[in-house]
Amino acid sequence: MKSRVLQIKDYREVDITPLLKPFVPDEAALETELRRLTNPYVRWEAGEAASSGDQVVCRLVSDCPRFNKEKVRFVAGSGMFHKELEALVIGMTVGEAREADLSEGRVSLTLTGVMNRVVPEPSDEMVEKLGLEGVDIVADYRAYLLAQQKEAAFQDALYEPQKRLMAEVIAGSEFVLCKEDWAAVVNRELDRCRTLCRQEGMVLEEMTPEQFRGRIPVKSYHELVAMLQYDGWDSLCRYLLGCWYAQTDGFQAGEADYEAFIEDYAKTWHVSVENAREANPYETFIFNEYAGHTYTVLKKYIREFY
Amino acid sequence: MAIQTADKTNFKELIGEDFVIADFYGTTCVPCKLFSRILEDIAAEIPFLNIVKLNTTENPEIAEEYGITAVPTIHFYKDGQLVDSHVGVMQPQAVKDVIAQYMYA
Repeated sequence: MKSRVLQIKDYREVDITPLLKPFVPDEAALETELRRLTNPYVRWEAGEAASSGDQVVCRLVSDCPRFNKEKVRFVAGSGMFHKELEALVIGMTVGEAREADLSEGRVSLTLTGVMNRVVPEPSDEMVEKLGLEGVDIVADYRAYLLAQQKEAAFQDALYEPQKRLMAEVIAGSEFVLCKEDWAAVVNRELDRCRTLCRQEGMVLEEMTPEQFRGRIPVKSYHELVAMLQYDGWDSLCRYLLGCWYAQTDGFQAGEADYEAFIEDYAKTWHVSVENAREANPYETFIFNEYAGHTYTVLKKYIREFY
Repeated sequence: MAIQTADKTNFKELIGEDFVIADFYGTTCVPCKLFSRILEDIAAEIPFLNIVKLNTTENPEIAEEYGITAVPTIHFYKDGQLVDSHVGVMQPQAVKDVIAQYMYA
């Protein structure tokens, strides 16, 4: 490749702080997750009085067939059987009867059984059974969940600053960009599309808008060529930047990575290894890895703010 | 909890009686894992609810027989009859609404 980077714009000089979203822990979500830990340990114990969340068994007598049942079981307050009857049963004791005037008719309800829902507090033992490395006690698990929240917030906030950084670094760097390299990038991607379509029994150049739908976001072959030509320029810049960064941070992509990628690709897309190789030649893989490395470098920098 | 894992030998049997939620999921499907947690929450709330999980990656023939083209797909059965279905993650209240509609019908 004749194209090269002459001078690189330092991404640290780009002010991305206005684009960063501050992380605010979602305490309610954290509590929900902690509570979820107890799900396998919920116990149901025979009881006398019904509270919301308890399993109850009732005898219903009514002219309405739906509410004329010798034995019906539901969870009080769940809203899944009948909201009014579920509310009526809360506070009742076994053997007690109450009546309700529903829009469907009058119903006499006798509580015949209660299983109280007993939810234990999250414990270190529960946490230990999760088998998470370095997460042994409830406090650890809470910190783990918080870290997950933070990571999700970071991933969610990443797009805009990363896009801005990429645009500024490309615009601020000096390149020697050769037309034949750009054409090679475009043709390589075009070949990839052609192969993928052929593997599905289609000819890329003859595909209809319906055939493109859901596969490639264009309506015609010519639109695709135009899109790849437009994207190819930045792809080439990203590749050159990725190679530049790799020289300093030691990033490498080679045969072993390619083999792992092909294995993963075949598994993910349910295609043969041969088809995976045909659609993703080694050169294409290497190009994409180094172009992708630029994203990785910028992402790592943005992470410093989180 | 009333969550059972099915395979091609017992799937039909497990959906044959009462009200059953069948969760068709894939091994590497991230939304499936999210929905699985939602189902676990519901199962902890309603212990007598029948939930059957079928891994479509490991049981493609069952997935094909039941017309599963994407995961997660959720089928709701009442005495073996499909009464409702949904493709994609369902929110807890949406699942509860379907349960309310059919479980006691």
